[in-house]
Amino acid sequence: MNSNNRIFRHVIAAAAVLLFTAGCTRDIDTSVPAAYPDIPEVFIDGFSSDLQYQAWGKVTNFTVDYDEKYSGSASMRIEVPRPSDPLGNWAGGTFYSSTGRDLTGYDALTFYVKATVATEMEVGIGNYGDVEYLAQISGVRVNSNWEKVIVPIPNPAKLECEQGLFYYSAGAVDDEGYTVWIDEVRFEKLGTLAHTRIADVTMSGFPTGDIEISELTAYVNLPNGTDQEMTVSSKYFTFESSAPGVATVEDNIITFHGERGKAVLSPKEAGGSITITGIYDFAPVPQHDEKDVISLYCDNYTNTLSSPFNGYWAPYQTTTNNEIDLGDNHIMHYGSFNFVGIVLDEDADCTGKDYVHLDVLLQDSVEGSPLLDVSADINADGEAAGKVTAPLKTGEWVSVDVPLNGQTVIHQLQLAITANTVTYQNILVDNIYFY
Amino acid sequence: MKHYMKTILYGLLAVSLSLLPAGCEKNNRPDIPDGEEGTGTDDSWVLVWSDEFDAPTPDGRPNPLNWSYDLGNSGFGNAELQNYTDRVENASYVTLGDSIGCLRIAALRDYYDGIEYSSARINTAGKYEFCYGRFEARLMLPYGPGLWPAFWLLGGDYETNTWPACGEIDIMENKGYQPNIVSCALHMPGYSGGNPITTTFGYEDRRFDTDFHIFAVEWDEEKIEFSVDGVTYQSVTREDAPDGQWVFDHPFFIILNVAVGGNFGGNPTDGTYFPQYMYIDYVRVWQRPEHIDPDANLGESDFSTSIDDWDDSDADKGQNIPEIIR
Repeated sequence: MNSNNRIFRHVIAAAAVLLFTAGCTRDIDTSVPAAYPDIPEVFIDGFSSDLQYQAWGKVTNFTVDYDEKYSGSASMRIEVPRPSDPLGNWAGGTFYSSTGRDLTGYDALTFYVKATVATEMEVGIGNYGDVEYLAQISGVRVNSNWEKVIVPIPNPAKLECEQGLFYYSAGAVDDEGYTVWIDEVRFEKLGTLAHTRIADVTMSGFPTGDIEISELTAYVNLPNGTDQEMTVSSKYFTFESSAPGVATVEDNIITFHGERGKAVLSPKEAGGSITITGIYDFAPVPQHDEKDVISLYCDNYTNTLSSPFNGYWAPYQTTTNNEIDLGDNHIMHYGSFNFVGIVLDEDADCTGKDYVHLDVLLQDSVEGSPLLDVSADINADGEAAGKVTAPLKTGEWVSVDVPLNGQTVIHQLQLAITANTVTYQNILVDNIYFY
Repeated sequence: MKHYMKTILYGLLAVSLSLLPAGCEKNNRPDIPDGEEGTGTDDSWVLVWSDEFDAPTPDGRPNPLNWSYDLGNSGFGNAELQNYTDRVENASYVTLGDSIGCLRIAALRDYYDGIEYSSARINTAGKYEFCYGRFEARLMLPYGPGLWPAFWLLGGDYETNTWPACGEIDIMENKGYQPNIVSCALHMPGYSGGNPITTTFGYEDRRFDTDFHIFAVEWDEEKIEFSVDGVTYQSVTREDAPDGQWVFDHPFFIILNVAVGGNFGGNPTDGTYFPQYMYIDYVRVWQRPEHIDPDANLGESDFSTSIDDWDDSDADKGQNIPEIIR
């Protein structure tokens, strides 16, 4: 329940107390959920009764235009600024209901849009407050003709009290500003949207812990038979697991339960699935005493060093990274991997330390002998204190210990697929520390 | 075998005719679900043939006693892109939900035999052909730009009587970019490819690809009427055709197919999702007793049993099919 929902219930409770003290003997059934208004209109020729606006970017970007409109007497006018605009270099805003609305009877937000240039903008619903039910279209094409836009609601049954009714975001085109008009913004029950599905996702699981499913890519088929790609909150869906002993989903949290094997997590309200392809072990628990290590990334030690864990070294690096947060365990995933620099925020004083350690797991199934070069560098030029080429094994943790060879200051670590060997794309890294 | 079939037919015809005066509706007319078919309630209909697709064949493909395949990637005169195959991947028995036995025609983007799209087109030519009657199918359609599902009849003499002289009755065609609109058409001399007698039927707030719908034509000597879910939306009479151009007085056979691309609704786009499926719950043919040809090949089907076992709940089947099955 969001805060406004709670407030509303407090109001109801207060009203009940007042009625009681006035001597009314009639029973009040508090089990009946509070009903929120199901007003469809957001902006037709003006703000609907409960509509509020919060500007993003250049806060003066929005006005009501009484000259240009699709129909009626007014439209919403958005001035997208130049990047150099001192008041803000983009235009955005969210229109929200101060009380929340019951949108379960609708299946889409629709509006008309035109602009002085041909470009794309981002629109959606659910982007206010706790942002539980985001549904976003990133590439809405606009041009100088009025066009109707349909923002499907992936699962309207969830929107019993939604505050985020409409939001938009747009940036300059070729460093120039432009104007966008939006009109007839309303929720509709079209009945001609169908075949909601999420993009299939595959991932590996772990023996225990929780992983939050963030936003999902979803598709809804429009009345013209084409699929609208969207970014939606996983909370729109209720997932069922094919193997509850392996993993289950509650709200948008995947919980691992210890069993090994494959689990397919399928939304009841849509096609597509999240497949847990297998369960990895956690990396080996380090055996060194904490007093003997300087740790960068390890749940068993206090991490006194820090790094962004990805230098994004242009132009040749393709590697991305994201942390898998399992609560008590944190694991770094590198995808699209070719090489990566783990540059320390401050150089490490490794006096008295002989090695830097890390554990690496290769996720991809590859033929041949995959190898990983790991070096510990004393400066940004890549002058190595020590370097190791480690053979990797699919699905297994491999411990790598790089000698420091008497060097006492380490600036960065480098990880790279060994030149002219088998390539791969996904590795996990854990337990990075000096000892 | 032909003599045997004649015996069955004569027997049925005799029963039907003998029951007519007594007005026994159960045995001599289809029991049409309320609200699904507004037509077909004439007292003289006899179910003469159907394929209910409830009992899978051993190999999962359409019953060869009923259906033949059209094969290849000739474009079929319409610049269609698909390669029609006889693979089980393109036409197979499936069960929808808990119990709805169907034939599923699958349009795939699988590059089979080096051709981007594959699909299936099945027909009853030479096996079951009928002159006049009510032809009905309960279908759930595919969707997306470039998909072209069809349920239609073609004159059985098409090999010697060049189209459109052989005649074509399109009971249902759909352009995949209009999932809530279907059309019917008649092709005859003067009304060929792009110029048929045609019209459309649409729902404002429903689609034909999310649940089953019943598409039917009723055809006799004087007129051809098309309906969707019991609503007749097109009636073409003999007088509507130019003099001598009415070519609908000889046996026609049934065709079901899902074309990909072509002149009707254009080609797939990047926004077309594959695979795409047309689900066929059943195909049924009724005729009036006077139209039942005692020489017609009506196969070995025990259609009298089909009548006795007619399921009144057919109209409701499939309304609760989970969306994700599709």
